[in-house]
Amino acid sequence: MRLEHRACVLVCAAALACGAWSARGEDAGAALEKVKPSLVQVTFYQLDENGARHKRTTVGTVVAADGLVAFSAEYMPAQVPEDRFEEFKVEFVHEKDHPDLAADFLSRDPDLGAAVIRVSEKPPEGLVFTPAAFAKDPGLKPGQPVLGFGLLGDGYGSTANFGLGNVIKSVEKPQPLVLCTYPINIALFGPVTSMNGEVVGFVIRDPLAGGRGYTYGSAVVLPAARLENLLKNPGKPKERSWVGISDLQPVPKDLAQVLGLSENGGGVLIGRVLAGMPAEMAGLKVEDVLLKLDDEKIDVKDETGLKGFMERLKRLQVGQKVVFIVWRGGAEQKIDLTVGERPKEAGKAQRVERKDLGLVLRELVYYDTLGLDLPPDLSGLYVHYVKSGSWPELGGLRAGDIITKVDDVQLKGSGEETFVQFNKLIDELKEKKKKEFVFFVSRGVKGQNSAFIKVEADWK
Amino acid sequence: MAKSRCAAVWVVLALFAAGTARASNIDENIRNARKKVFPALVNVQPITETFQGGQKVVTGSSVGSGVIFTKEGHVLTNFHVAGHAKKVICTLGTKERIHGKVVGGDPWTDLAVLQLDLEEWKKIHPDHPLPVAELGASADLEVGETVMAMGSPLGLARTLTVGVISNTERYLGDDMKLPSGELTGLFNTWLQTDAAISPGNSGGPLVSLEGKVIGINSRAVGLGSNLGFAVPVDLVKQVVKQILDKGSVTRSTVGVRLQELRELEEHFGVDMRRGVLVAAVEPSSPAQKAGLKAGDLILSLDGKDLSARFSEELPVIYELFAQLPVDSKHVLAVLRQGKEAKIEVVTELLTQIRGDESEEQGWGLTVRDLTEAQKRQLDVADGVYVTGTRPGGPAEKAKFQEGDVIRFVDGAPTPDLEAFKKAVEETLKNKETKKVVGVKVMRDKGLYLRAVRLVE
Repeated sequence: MRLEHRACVLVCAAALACGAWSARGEDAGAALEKVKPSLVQVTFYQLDENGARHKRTTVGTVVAADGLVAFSAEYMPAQVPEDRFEEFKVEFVHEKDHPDLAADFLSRDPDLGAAVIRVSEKPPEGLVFTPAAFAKDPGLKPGQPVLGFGLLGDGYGSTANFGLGNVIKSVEKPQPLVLCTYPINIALFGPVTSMNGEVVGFVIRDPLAGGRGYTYGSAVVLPAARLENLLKNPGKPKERSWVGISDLQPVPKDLAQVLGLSENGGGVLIGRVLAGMPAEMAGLKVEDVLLKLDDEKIDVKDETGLKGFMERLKRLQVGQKVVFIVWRGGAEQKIDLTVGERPKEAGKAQRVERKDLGLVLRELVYYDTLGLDLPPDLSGLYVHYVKSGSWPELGGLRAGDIITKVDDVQLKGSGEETFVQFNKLIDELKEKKKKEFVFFVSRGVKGQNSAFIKVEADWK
Repeated sequence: MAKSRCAAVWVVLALFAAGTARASNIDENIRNARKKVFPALVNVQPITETFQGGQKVVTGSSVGSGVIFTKEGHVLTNFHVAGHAKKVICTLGTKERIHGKVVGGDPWTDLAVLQLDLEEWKKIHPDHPLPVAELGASADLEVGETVMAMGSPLGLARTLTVGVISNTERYLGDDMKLPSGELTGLFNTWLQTDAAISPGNSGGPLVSLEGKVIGINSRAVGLGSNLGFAVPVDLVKQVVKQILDKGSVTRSTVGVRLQELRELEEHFGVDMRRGVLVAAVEPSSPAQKAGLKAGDLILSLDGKDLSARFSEELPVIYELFAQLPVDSKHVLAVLRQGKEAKIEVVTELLTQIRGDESEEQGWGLTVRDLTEAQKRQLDVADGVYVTGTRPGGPAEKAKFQEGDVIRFVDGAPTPDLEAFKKAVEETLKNKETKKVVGVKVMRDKGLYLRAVRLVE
């Protein structure tokens, strides 16, 4: 009863919204019919460290006839390793009996906020994957009417939901975006089409809105063309580029005056050059002001402009050779730089689970030592998870500790090498049925809260 | 049978009688103790300069407690009550208000000593000496002894609460901070009591049934009930002596973080109750210079055996190091991987992580001097630490943030507060010719350049 009442309210709201657009009502209806077959529901599970499964449900769009489906990577955060997600399914909510087919995960692109999977299960007879039609020339001009699509929840039978809107503005930075008005809140990464039902982009969180990333009363749309690379090579994870500079600052007018730069300002001041990274190797220095990148002026005077510049850095390709013009000591200098690959993030780091100890350990990544101000060449294993009630937990080991010694034996090397050594040491203890052993852990910034952890084991 | 029943009744009655007799003794003792200490009990209202939102603000709304302990008018209280006070107003047991000033304080033990204006007292009571409470001893206190907390909980002056000593050697960890930011609690254990202690009791005395001060009430745990903690009076006496002699307490450090050995003796190959474990060595500290390493066991200091099997024993060892003269050479017997060695270490002055604070009105910001400990913590050579910016002021417009370390103003280094103040003064003097000034700051590990516009 209550459900019907709510459904009624929704329809009325849609009707009200559509009222103002009645002239386009027929177009919208036709577009809806065109888009509907490609609108699917994607479900999968995220495993937490206790082995509990958390269901994730979102809207997806069929983007190729082989069953390729794109959806928001927001549900697969970059810091969570890919192997923690499983049992992907694509439900064809607009087909008879709602077939729910298994799919394989292919890749995600955290910079775009998109992920792709492909249906792997044989579809029932009669079900043909209908990809959304992409507009050849989106030509998104302010005032142009567009439609945004999503799905209403399970309670409404996963009904296709859509809203009418207009293009407000095309934004080039921080990345090409389109601002649109929508009367109805559209699902994240739902497709946005022109009035003829051809996809021009996908709704994403507003990268400039800060906080939760919502812009109330309007939607931010990622142009479909930005997905081209991901859809062409869906199985290939994107190499993320890296220059190795941080603490960047815009150069407004007053700062330009202090620096002896042009009166109008514009540029990016470097506050930190990370050791051993491409910027350092190219000779960039702290206090350099970046003025040009490959002949294009870096006209950054405020925080918004800085975000745009950072997005531009992200879009450089690994291995790409670029030329910076920098302002150093009152004169311009040319710096040639080869863009590197971003150091491995925690989400991609190799892990090992020692069920007997109730531990999940992962290799140390660059960001661990950077964040904790530890030597970059520190050897050890990062404690990702300590099972409640496990021997190490009772001894005082905590998630976030870095194990550097086992019974006074220093862990060596990095990655696989350290895992092999650690496992060998533990296996030896296990074989000897040694009842007590000690981890030395680095804890806190600069290891200032380091501790010796005694583990009392009861090997069976 | 009848005889024995009769005897049983007598026993019960006797016990009852003894019980009431003891209860009435306790009542009497409490009343006597109150009579001894209450006249010397003080309600402390500190007038404090604090730095908020980039400005100096004078506040006088908080209330603490204290106790007069010398006939010269010295009052004991907590550092967190009056340590930063410019002056204090004390309401005595007679309900009269007398002004006072801070003689000195010690954030590590959270103690401060005030001096009452004796002339004011003499004007009101020309024939009566100032009432004084007697400081007792805390070494032999036992768990279960009845004690009283006296003070001004929530500003309710002259309040007495009763409880027992719940623990005589409570260790509350080595990473506590006072509300004003100083580190505290490294060198002492605490007397725990269930006598009710609320905000406002801070600085008031914990009193024995003999009417002697056995501790200074300093903190309580908000989450539980009746969990109060007092600084033991034996330690108070040591600290007070130094404050009265020279206004502050000098301590040494070698820069090690110690860990108790509990159940790790076998692993390190030492006998039980021998040695203390080095868990971390501060970078550039005397210990690091001397070659001490995490995992070393310090067995003795200048021939005196050290042992910390439990965490409660750590403050004693930290205090031993703290009592050594600054810049003096000492010998540690160290056990490293089964081998004993002698290591010579030279102590250095222990500094707090909070330096003097100052407001620079012309720039609209407040800054603190960096202490050696803070420089080490922040990994900067020198500079001044920004604590706040005034909304709409030049510093806020130039996007300074709390935690920035200002190292250069207009190209000139500003290694300390004095140099910074001078540099700021210079910029203000020349602001008509130089309207915008460049300032170099360190923010975490990054260098930031800020342009401060002094004339719009």
